[in-house]
Amino acid sequence: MKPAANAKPPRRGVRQRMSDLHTWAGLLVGWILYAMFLTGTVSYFKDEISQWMRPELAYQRVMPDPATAAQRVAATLGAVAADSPQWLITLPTTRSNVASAFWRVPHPQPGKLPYGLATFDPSTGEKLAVRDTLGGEFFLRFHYQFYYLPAVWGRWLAGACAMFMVVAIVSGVITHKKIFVDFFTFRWGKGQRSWLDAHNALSVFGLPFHLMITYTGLVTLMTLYMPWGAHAALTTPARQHAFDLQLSSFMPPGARADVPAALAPVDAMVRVGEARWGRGNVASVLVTNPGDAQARVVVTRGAVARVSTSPQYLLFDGVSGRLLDVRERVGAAAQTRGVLYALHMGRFGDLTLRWLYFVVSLAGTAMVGTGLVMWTVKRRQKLPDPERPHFGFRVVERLNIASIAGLSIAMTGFLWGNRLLPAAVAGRARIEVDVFFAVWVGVLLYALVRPARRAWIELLGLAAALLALLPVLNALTTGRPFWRSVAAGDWVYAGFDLMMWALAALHAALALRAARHRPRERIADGRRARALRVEDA
Amino acid sequence: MSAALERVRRAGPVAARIVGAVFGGYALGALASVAALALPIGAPQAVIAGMLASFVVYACAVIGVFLARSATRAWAGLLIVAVPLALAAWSATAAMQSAGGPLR
Repeated sequence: MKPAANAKPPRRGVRQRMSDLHTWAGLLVGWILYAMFLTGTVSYFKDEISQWMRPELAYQRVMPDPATAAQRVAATLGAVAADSPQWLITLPTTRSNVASAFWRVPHPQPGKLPYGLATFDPSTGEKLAVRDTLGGEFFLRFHYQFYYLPAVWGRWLAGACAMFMVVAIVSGVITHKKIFVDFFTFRWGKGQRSWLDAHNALSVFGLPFHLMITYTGLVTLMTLYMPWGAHAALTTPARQHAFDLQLSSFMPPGARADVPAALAPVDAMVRVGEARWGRGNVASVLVTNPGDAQARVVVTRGAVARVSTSPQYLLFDGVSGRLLDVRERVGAAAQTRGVLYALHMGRFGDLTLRWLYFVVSLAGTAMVGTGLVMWTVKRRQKLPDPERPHFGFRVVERLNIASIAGLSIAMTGFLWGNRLLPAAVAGRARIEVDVFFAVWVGVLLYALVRPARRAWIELLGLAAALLALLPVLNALTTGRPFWRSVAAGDWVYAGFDLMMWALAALHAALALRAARHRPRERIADGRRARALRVEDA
Repeated sequence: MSAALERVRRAGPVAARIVGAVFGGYALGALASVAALALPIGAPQAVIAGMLASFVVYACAVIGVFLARSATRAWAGLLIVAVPLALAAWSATAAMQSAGGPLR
C-alpha cells in the first residue's frame, strides 16, 4: 500500500539534523564569514601592509626610539589639541614605522566628529605629510565592523556571524563519523567528492585553530554582546571603573583643577616603562587633562613577549612626573580573557608564528570557500534542468563568485587605488575604501550577467593578473621596485611583491582548474542528446 | 487551504527550533552570564567569567536544540536549564543591588 500523501515526514536522524544545521548555518552567513576570514587573515600583516601603502616612508632599518617619538608627538598635540581632555598616542614598533594618536575634541562643531585621529612621523613628531591612507587598518576594521554601517551594528553583525561559525564548526564535527579517517582521504578529480574531501582536510587540519579563533573573536567584543552581567553588577561608577581597569588601561579623564600647569616630559615616563618591560615594549601613552594641574599620564605595556593582553600600566602625575601607581596584575577571569584576546590577535609571537597564523587562517578561509562551493556542486547534479537552475541556486552561485573571486579583486583593487590615486586629493583615505567597494560591486554585477563557469574563469584570471601586475605598478609609481628592495634588504617590500606573485599563482591555478573542469551535466547532456537522436531515428 | 496548513505543519517545528536556537540560546547565555555573579570571586571577575562562559552556553544551547528529538523537547530542555540559571541570576543580582559596598 502506498503511504498517504500527507503522512508525517519521517523523523530525521541526529547526524542528518546536524548535517542540515551545518549546511544552512554555514550557507546563510558563509559569504560574510568568508570576507571576515580573509580580511582577518591578512590583518596579521597589518603593519607591513600599512608600510607598503605609505611608500614615501623609507624602510625602517632601526626602530625609532619610542620615548623620543612619544615626546615629539606630545609636543605636536600640545599645539594642535591643547584644549582636548584626552590624548592617546600609539608608539612605533619594530614592525610599524609610524606613531598615531587619538584625541577627544571637547566642543565639536555640529556635523564634525567628537574626536581626532592622525598619523605622525616618529622622527619629527609632525603629522604625516605623505599620502593619506588607512593602510592595513582598513582590512582589520572591516574584519570586525565592516564599513559604511554604524560601528556598533557592524560589530553585532560580525558577532552573529561568529556565533553561526561556532555552530557550523560544532555541527560539522558531529556530522563526521570518521573525522580522523576522512582527513587522510582525498579523491582528486571526483567532482563533489573532491570538494568534500578538500573541505574536510582544510577544516580538520586547522580545527582547533578555527574553533579557537572564532570563540576568541567573540571574546574580543564580549562586553558589547553580553552586557547583562555588567548591567546587573556594576551599579556605581566606582564599580564600573574597577571593572574597566580589568580589561583595559584606557581610562576616562578625571576632574580638572582648572589651574594651568605644563605637562611633564613624557619621554622620561616611557623610559621608566621600558626599564620595566624591555625596550620597545611600551605600546601607548595616554594623557588626560594635558595642560591642567590634574594631568595624568598612563604608560601601557605592549603585547610583545607575553601571552596575555590584560592591561599592565604605570600611572604618572602629569605635572610632577611622579609615579603614582603600578598595575601589573588583574584577576583570574580577567587574565583568562587577556590570554584569549592575545590568542586571537597573535601579536605575542615572532615572525614565524605570524606566518603560521597566516597560513592556518588562510586554510580557514578556504574551508569557508570550499563549503560554499560545495553547496552548489552537490545540488547541481540534482537539478531538474542544470541549464536553468532555480532562483535560489542562481543566487548562491552568483554570490559565491562575487564573494570569493570578487573579494580578491576588490582587495587588490584597494592596493591599486593606493598607488594610482593622486597623493594630494581631498579625503584620499576614504576614496581608497570607496574604490574597494566600487570594484566589489562591479564584480558582483559582472557575475550576475555572465554564465557562472565563464565568470569564475574570467574573474579568477583577472584577480591573478591584478595581483601579478601589482609589483610592476609599484615599480613604476614608487622608487622601490623589487630588485632594489632585495638589494637594500628591505624584506617588507620584497616580501610583499613575492606574496603578490604567490597569490597570483594561486588564483591562476584556480582559474585553470575552473577552465579545465568538465561538469557532470555536460556528460548528462550528451547522453540526453544521444537519446533524443535515437528517438528521432 | 489544506496545502497551506500542511506547509505550516511541516515548517512549524523547524521554525520553532530556529527561534529557540537563536533567541532561546542567546537568552540562556545571557542568563548564565548573570548567574555567574553568584560565584564567590568578586564582582568584576564574576562579570568577566560570566561573559566568557555565555558564548559556550549559547553554542551548546543551539546544538542541543537541534539534537533534541522534537521541537517540543528542545524548548522543554531550554526551559529546564533556564530555571536554575534564572534563580541563581535573580539571587545574585538581588545581593549585588543590596550590598552596594566596595568590590574586591
